[in-house]
Amino acid sequence: MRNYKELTSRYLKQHKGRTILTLVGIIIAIAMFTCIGSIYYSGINSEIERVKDEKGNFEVLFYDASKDKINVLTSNAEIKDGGVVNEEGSFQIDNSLLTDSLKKMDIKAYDGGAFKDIFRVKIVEGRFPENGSEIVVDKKYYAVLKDKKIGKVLKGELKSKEGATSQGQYTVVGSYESKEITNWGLSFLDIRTSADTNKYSYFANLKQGKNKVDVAQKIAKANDVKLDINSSLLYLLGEGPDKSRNNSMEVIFGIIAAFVVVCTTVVIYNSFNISVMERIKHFGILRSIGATKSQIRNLVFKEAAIMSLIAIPIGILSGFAGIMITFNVFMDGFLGEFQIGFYPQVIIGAALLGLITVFLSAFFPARTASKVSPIDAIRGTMIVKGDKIKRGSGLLAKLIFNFEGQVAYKNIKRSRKRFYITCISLMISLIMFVFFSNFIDIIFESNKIVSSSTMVEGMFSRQQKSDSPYLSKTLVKNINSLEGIKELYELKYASLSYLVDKEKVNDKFVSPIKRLKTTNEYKGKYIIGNVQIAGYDEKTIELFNKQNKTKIGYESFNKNNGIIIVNKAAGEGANNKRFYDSFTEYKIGDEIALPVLDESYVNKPDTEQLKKYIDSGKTINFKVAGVIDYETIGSSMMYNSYGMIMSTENYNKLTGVNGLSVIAVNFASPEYSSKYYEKFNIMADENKASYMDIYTQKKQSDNLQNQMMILVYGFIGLIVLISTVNIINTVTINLLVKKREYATFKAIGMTKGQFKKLVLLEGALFGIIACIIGLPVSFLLTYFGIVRNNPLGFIGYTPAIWPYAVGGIGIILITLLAAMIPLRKLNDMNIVEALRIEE
Amino acid sequence: MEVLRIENLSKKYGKGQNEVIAVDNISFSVTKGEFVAIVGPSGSGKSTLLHLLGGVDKPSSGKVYIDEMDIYGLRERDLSILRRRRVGFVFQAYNLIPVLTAEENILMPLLLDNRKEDKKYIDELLTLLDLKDRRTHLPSELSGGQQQRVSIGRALANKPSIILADEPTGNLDTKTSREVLQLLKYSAKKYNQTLILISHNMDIASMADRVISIVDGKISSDEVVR
Repeated sequence: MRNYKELTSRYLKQHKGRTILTLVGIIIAIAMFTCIGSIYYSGINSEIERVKDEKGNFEVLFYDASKDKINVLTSNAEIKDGGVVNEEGSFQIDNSLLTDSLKKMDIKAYDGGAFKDIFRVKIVEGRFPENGSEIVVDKKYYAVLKDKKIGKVLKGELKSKEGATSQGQYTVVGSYESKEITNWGLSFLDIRTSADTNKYSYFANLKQGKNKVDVAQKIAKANDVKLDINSSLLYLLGEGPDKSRNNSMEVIFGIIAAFVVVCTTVVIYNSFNISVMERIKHFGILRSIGATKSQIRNLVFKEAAIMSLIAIPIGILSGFAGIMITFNVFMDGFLGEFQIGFYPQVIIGAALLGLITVFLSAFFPARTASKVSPIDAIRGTMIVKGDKIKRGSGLLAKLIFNFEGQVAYKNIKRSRKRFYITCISLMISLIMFVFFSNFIDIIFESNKIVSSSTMVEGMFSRQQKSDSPYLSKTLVKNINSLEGIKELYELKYASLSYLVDKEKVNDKFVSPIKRLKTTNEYKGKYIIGNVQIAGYDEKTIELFNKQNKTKIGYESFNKNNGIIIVNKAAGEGANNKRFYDSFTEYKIGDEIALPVLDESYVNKPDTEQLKKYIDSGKTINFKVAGVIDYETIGSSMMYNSYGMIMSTENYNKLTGVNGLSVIAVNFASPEYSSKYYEKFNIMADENKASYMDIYTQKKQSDNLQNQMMILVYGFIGLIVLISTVNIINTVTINLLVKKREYATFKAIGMTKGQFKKLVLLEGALFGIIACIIGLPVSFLLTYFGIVRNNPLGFIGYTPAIWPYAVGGIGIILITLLAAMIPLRKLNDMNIVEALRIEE
Repeated sequence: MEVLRIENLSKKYGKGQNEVIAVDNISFSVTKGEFVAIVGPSGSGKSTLLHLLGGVDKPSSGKVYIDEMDIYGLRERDLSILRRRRVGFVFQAYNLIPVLTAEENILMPLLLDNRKEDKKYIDELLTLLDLKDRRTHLPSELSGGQQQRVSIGRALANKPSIILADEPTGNLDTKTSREVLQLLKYSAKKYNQTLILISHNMDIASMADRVISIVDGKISSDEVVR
């Protein structure tokens, strides 16, 4: 031994258990800082890349510039790089094979910089254009051209922005990477030879890192051109025009990091405090043989330094490893293009935050240690601050757990600071668990409702305008002829003003619908808006049966005028409070007489017209065959209204409409959904309909859900782990320093069982107290934070109970476990020896 | 030559009705190389007196001079340094640091002083204390007598001018007690140190040059035996 400070490492080695526990706490903290930092920087970077891909890799745009001005701008010393673009105009292609939406193409001329640096065009097939009459189109459009055998030369009429028209001809020389059909034809711009207009645009990046907007404004003013900025990119770079908006992300991540600092400081502080308290007598002896206060302080700080030295590299490495594994294994395709990356500033930040946390935690214990009076240490008359024992406390604990409970309660409250710190850290874990579990539960539940309407994998729907055509039987035939279509469902929909029997409306909805201007009362009925009527074919009814576990036979459903009521709707009660309930009180077997309508009414509903239908007395009698909450396939959330499902024939009879609104399909296997994606989009386009790839959408939302769950529970898991370390520390020290008292208990005749109960209670009481305070707080936070302000709109959510049960029982179990560890040691103790301990 | 002088030293605990006077206006002085035994019944204030002499406690009034230095006039830091250089403590409960070996415990005052060990002197000490083959043992691996010898070694390590021993044999059997005491007396003579020892055992006290009896915080007698 060369230096008195070696005492520290000696102590750390001797108390391996405590040292490792403290190290674990610090490592988790640093790993969390690393993860948070990585996610933050990766998030910003991914977002920057996304914006660059979507809008282009430019910061500012100078437009309405002449050729000369462009030449001046391109040689401006403040500009790093840029690209010139000229919008040639809108090209109307003269080809009958293309649908209307594909016939129109915007022709843009890019120079080399625009192709390469700014819009980062990637050629999939063919080559870049080399002159003004060659173009590249997006790969999907290219596929259409190929599919229809249209050829490479497109002829048509070019209409410039000013309105001049001319005959044009473009040769398609290649296709570029794109997620969607853009209807853009990109030609090559050679600024030396192109026509001189005032309409050139120059997309540019600036050299200067700060105040980009100011610099750009100066350049625009000096050259007398107009200026636009890529604000989404500039905001991400922290250079947005509105300075106060630039830091919102940093604030959120700052709050999370601060939270971790607080949580871990509590734990590490506790560890240090315990390790100091345990050795307080040794510090006293050292003082009596002449150690100065600062020498004692240094001993504790050295402990902190050693801990940091070990924990920081391990923490950073495991943080990186953890986040890389998590994102590469579980988070593929998270939020689109999220790429987790390695950022050196994260290492520095995590190390610094870690050091701050550790030294902050060691500061007060170091002060306590240096303040110890040698005489107290020698005499053994140490009085731990806050070690006050109240006479009457713990009566409740006594009532429930007998006298062992009372003793345990008094014991854990002896060191107040430690008691509060431990309880608070447990409560934070519990509250976080309950809150976020409920949050995730809400997302899951609402997703269930959404996905309950996605029993199908792909869907063609008629556009929502009244003059758009119905889906044709030819389309049905074309789809059905394709290989890989397992089932095809034909549906008819109408959403219109219709009626409901007054006495059948749920009382809760009466005043909400009366308050609506669109509601009329007529002959014992309410005429209300947005009633949804659906006509199902046989296949769809089978699907309905499968989903709702019903046994409705299509034939009898059709013959007996069966009707299914879709009942769940949102309403607005007094003081605009939203509620969610059944709209009608129909039961199976009820009869409903519905007035017969005709097609013109369905296309253009009108209350007066509806009254005439009612007066005419022409009705169809329907019989309720089922009441369900949600419609199976295509309809949206209902608001102060209800829906009806009937057979497709009865739908014809009732509404006078024969056309199809929706064609839904299920594939034989999932890969067909991507295989047919482009084909179906084109087919939909040709039929003026729209196509939705429900399978992929659902998969994406499921993935996102799981990924969010991994992130949130990963975070909670680490916080719980930290507080577990803390509770183990606290309980262990609480028990071990009282060895002598336990020996006394045993000596005066406490049985092994009683002793076990006492020790276990000293652990479990922490959990019980954390539950007593933490659960109501969690409830309030959850209720006012998410249940009442449901972030996903009103879905009629009943708050989940399981987070409370799992969290509460979990935390009591953890505290029990924490007491089991020292219990083993205490059980083995020799009464006589323990009584003799001088402490 | 005078090594230690105390003037009107008092120590009170508590206030008002609860006031306890542990040391009541005591004055005396000790010369270099003297072996003083302080005796008295338990609760007479002799331990408090010893702690006051060593600068680990604070007097309510009065002064303590070690080598003509008013120790309670010193700053905290300087008092610590004085303690480690001029005073050696031997406690009844040994008070060794459990994580350090016998030798390391002995070296501690030197290390705190950032001083290089005097190898020859330490070897000599270990031989004198009969701890040569126990130097790498932890306190828990030593007997009571051995532990107390380590604590004597620690007190002697810095060659202090005064050794203060608080019932050093209180936890030992008669035979070991005698050995430890002989050792203390021998080493004090050898290095010309002043030894002040507390005991309630008159047998032990009779080995001293001078016996000061204390009753209720006051000196009841002060006799030079030899």
